[in-house]
Amino acid sequence: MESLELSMAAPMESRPLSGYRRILFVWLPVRKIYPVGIGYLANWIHREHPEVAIEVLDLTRFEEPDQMSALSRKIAEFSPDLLAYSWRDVQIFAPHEGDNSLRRAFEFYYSPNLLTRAYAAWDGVRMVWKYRSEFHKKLRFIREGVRRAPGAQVMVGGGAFSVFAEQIIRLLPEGVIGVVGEGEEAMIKLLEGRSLGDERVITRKGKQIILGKKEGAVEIRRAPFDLAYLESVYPGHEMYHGKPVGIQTKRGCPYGCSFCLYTYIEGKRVYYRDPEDVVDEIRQYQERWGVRNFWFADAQFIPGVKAVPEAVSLLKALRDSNLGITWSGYIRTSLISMEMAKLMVESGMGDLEVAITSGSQEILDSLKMGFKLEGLMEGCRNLKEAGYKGKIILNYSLNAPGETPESLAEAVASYEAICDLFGPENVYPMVFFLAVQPHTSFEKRLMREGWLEENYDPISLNPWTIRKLLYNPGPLGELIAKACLVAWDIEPMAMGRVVMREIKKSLGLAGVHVKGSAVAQAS
Amino acid sequence: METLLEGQIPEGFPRLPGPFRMLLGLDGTLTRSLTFLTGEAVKVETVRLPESLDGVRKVFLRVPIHGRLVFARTRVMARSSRTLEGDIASLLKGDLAIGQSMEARFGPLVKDQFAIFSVSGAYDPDGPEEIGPIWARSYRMSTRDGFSLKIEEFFLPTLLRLSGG
Repeated sequence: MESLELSMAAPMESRPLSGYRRILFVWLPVRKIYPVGIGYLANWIHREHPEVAIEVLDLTRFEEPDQMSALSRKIAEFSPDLLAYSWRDVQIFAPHEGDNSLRRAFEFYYSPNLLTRAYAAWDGVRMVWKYRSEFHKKLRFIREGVRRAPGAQVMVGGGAFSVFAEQIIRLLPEGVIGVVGEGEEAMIKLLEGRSLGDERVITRKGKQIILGKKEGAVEIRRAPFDLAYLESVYPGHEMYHGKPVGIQTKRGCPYGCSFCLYTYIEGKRVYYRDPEDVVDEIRQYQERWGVRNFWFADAQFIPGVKAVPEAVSLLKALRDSNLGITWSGYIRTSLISMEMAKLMVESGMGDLEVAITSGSQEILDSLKMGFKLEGLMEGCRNLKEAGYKGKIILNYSLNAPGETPESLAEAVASYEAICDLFGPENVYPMVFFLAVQPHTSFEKRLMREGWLEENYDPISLNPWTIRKLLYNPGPLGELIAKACLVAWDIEPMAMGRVVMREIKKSLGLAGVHVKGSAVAQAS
Repeated sequence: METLLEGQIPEGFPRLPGPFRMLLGLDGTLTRSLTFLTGEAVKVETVRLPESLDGVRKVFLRVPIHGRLVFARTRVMARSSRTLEGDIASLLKGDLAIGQSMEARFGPLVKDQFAIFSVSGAYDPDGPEEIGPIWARSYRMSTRDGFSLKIEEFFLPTLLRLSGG
């Protein structure tokens, strides 16, 4: 073998050893959703400090009565010196599939049937109690960790924690470190005994809450993923085999949509991963776990014009990987050129989820959405021309500030225009309302306008607060709610379509004609 | 054969020429096997990458007469506190076969996670764009103290021809 010379130009220092030896990641119980963030964190730490033993405890895989004992057992068995909890859902009135809370709320407030209202009130109380129990159960898991592993450092992070960090950290023992947003660098600094002063961490000292600021973000360009390693530290990962998996291709979003939290959590600057790393990660999930469907867990798949070259490179790499997968994500169709549309189709885009939000350009502008409806329609036409045959899921947030019967009619018209293009059987409108979230400009606007008190509690389960946080005011609120009630009764599986039909009917009856929206005109 | 790979045997693999399948399935040194196949000394031609691209190495394995045979991409999967950063940098920048070079620096290696797959077109921005499928293999190579690399080797059409395809 040839003799090898070491380059003297390169720095010769070795990396500092970790001051922590055993990290237990705990995925707090949630619906059966694969913990994407823990996967990336575990890989990141293993890449930087392979001398650290890591284990992932996914509490979702245990029956509810066994979850606390599973945590205690694991702490006793693994003896972690760092316990890192990931908290995804706070469940403050965030209705999702299989959750009737929105329906019950609307029934209680708007149903003409007294019996229905009474049942809704009873079931609503039950749900509020359930939310409260879930919230406090998660706090108990963290407190139990502090009690069972008294010598360990306890950290908490995750999407929901990041949003409600200031409220949650007050309810946790002193000494717990909360991480707002991405946690890679904060964890590495903690392991290496470096200061966390320039990280977005939150701590409590008595009644004082200290929240740090971070300059920049984690550079994720080179972030290869080792699924085999993750398997080796993640008992129970088999329950996600063959199921859709989330992949992060980038972090950050330059848009400032007034109701959205992504910029608060991930920042406005966009950081990209290398397409080769992304494709390699997908290949591993496909080969080892039989995963065929992937969700790009980015704030937006194409976050602005500057992101187009990166998106094109990734789509080319995906197309050329011959993996035969399907993928989806939140996509701004206004940025889909003909070339992009072809690549999307060729690389296996499955369903397309579009946050159209409103049919009125004026409302979109007031919500700072940063796109034109004409552009959205042009992107749709490009997709159609490129041979896209999947579903189009249109997310509407009805009754935004400034909504009028005319603008509501424009929303219906925009839905119909897209139906004309792709066929109504392929278009699925989803009706949402603007939920008021902390740290958003929408929240601040509503405070300015007196809709919300300055000192309101965002985790309150008071029905009057909930009603305010689920923004659906005035006579239009009643009209939309009634359309929703009809839809739940007659076609709950295609609710959005019925809502559109009912709104159109109601507006027609009220003498408002569905005139051509910007979308309709563009089509 | 299923037990040899952790993933599935890719479609089309059984129809490849025997010597080519053997090369894809190797768990020893590819450079040495290429020398035996071609009768020529294999050289490593490194691809110049931007300084900012940390932890990646891209090279072509080539022989004097037949030219480029393999495009190889190496990525650092795990660093180790015992591994000097300078060692890693010079390993990735060097023009020696990665396995030999790594073994000489860090001692005995473990190879695992073998996979075989096919790609097409622009599978890497620094790789040649080819028409038709490109067969590739990947594996992880780790040292005892946890430093590990993932290596992907894309077999170019010339190699397929030389192997009887």
